[in-house]
Amino acid sequence: MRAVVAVALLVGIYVLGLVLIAGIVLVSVLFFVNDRPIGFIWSVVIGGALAFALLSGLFTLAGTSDDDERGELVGEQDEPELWALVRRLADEVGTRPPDRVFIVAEANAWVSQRTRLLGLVATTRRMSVGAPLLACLTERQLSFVLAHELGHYSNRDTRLSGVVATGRVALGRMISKLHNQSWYHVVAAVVFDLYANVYFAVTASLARRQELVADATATRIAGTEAAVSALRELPVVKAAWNLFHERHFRPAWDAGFLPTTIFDAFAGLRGSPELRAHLDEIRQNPPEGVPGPYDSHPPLSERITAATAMAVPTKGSDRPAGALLANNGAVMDKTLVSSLVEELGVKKRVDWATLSHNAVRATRVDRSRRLVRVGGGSLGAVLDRLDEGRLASLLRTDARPGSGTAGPRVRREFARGLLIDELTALVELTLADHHQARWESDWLGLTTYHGPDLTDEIERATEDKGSTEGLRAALTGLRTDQAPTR
Amino acid sequence: MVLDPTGHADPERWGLVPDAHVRDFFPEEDPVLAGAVTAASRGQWRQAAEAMKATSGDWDDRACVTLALAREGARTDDWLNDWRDEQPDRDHAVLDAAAWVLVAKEILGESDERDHLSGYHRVLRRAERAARHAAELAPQDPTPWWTLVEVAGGLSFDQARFAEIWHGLHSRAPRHRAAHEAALRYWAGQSSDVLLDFAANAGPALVLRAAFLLEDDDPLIWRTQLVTGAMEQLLAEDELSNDDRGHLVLALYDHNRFTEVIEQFRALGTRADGTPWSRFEDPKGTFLEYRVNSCRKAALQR
Repeated sequence: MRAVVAVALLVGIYVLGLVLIAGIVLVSVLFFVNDRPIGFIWSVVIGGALAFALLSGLFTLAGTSDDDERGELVGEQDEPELWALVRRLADEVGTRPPDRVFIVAEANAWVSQRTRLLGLVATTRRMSVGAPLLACLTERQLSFVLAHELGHYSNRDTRLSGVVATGRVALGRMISKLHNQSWYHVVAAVVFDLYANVYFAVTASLARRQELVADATATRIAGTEAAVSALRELPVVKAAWNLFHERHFRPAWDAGFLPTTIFDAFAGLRGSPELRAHLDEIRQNPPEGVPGPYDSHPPLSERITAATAMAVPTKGSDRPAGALLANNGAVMDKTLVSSLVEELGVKKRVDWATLSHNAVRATRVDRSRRLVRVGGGSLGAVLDRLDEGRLASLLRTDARPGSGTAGPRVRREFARGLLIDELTALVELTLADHHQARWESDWLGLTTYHGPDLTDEIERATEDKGSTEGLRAALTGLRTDQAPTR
Repeated sequence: MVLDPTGHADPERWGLVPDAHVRDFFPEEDPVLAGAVTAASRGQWRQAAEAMKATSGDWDDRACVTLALAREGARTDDWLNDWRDEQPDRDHAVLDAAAWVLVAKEILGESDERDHLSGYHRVLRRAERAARHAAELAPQDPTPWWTLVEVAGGLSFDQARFAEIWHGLHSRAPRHRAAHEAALRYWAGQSSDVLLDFAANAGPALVLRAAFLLEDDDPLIWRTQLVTGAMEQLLAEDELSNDDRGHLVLALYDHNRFTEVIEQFRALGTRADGTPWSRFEDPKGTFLEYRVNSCRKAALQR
């Protein structure tokens, strides 16, 4: 019954949109007929924009989505083993296999469909498999995850539940798309938002039950052990992937470099001793997380309990899921690099040790940039200014101490500390560029500097009646007349 | 909101000064010290040197004078630099170290930003060097050791390192009040059990200060036997400092002994300066809030 209401609501959104547009047209017509030219122009401009936004929302809902166009499309001849698994799972779930399979650079997997006509008819079905899952899970665990996603389309319980799920996804997509655009789109989004809330409220329990049904289907196929361990492992994979991507891959990428290996390095991160405690903690106490507004997943603990209660014996292989891929999983690295292939010429391929050194180096260049600018363009010029007693000209004047005081001494001392940071970065850069120092980062992102410790010399150089003598002595023979660049 | 048609919540009905007379800042009362601070703010150091010299021997008094002058020294340091250039004596060294600690505290404020924290730590390390230097110049003087206790709290020294500093302080002035209060802050960052042991040994006034440091983590702290006992002991004493009375207010208030809170407020009069009020974001506002709430609740108890 709820499913019928949900479908009716889905149709209703078109009625709502069209009624609103009719209203806008009516207002404009009334202005025109009653001979109010100013009002007419305003209503055409504003109403037109709103009508455009409403229409584009409706078309998003009805039409295709481009947000699943990311990732690396793999054909059956490219990855026969993965395709075989997907076909077998679809068969066991009792739904048609996806038309396309993508490998994506996200710690997630999902099945989506292009929708047509009121979002009620689904056409092309596509499955996205996260490369981090392939890298971290066993084949059994991956089977559970994929079977769960396919299970949403099994239509076993209700003929309409598949439509309900599609509708939820389409609505969520439409609203988030509208919100990211101009003001009139946002106005339309607010209208649809209110409507969508009703839809989500009506379908919440239905969607929650669908999740549990999908879990049950997948557990029957992959076994309880695989189900429970996959549910526990997913947050760990997510955490490890975020760490890898945010703290290692992205900074290197931003600095203009590409690692020679990506997923091998990711495996190294997962196995590294400095991260073991952190990841074990997540494994033991999975974060419940704050569910998003359109998220319908029941709490993890509930899903684990349900899967345990089914007590299905273990099935399938427990080799690493990555073994399903051809070419040692070369496709996984492509997920991060392929969509940006055009940049490949610009990014330099380096190994991870060089890469982490370079990424840190880039941060030091950023940190010293202001000092180089105000200090005459190079370390040598900065030291000359210090010797000339022009320390004050190098201090930042915009830095506010924590207490917010205007006391000149506190402000000066705070600025002096910031100057020491900048000068330290500049000195380390000079040493590193002459191969007398280097930086190293562990997988946690902690940086260690290996090189001469010049803390005292730098402090001495930045005192009120200081001296750069010690610092200059330590830098003898090095070129200090250049501005470091990234 | 409690209805109070007869106006019992009005502090003036309880013999307290009107709200408008309460202030959280009072100028220095000692004319010599006040003169020295004013002279320092104009860049002259000799009066400050005189004021410091006069305190030798009375260590609590020396702590007060050092603190008052160090506040000015943390604001402007031309006079301190001139003093060092012309007459680098032990009094200068002691004051210089204390001023560095205050500079560090102002850099941090209530912030938890990385830049503020690293500036705080850097200047505290500078303060430590200055205090070690002062301790060499003035071997009898506990004042630099008090500064080191402050540094130990800010830099979270390990307990072995703190023990060395505390020994240096304790062997010179076993009852140095300001250093004991700084030591409370050190222990508050280490362990609440040791903090309470330390305070219990140091006397009832320190126990109430320890309770104030712990109340955020342990709201029931005021009702413990140790704190209740310390509160009674303090009430029985003849002479109390304003800071002691301020902490008594918090303790008595928590025990719902509002008429006794009002007595403390009567003794405090217009003075919302000093601790614990200065530790709140709005010292005077907090003082007045406790005052009016005590009056209202005392009226309800009658």
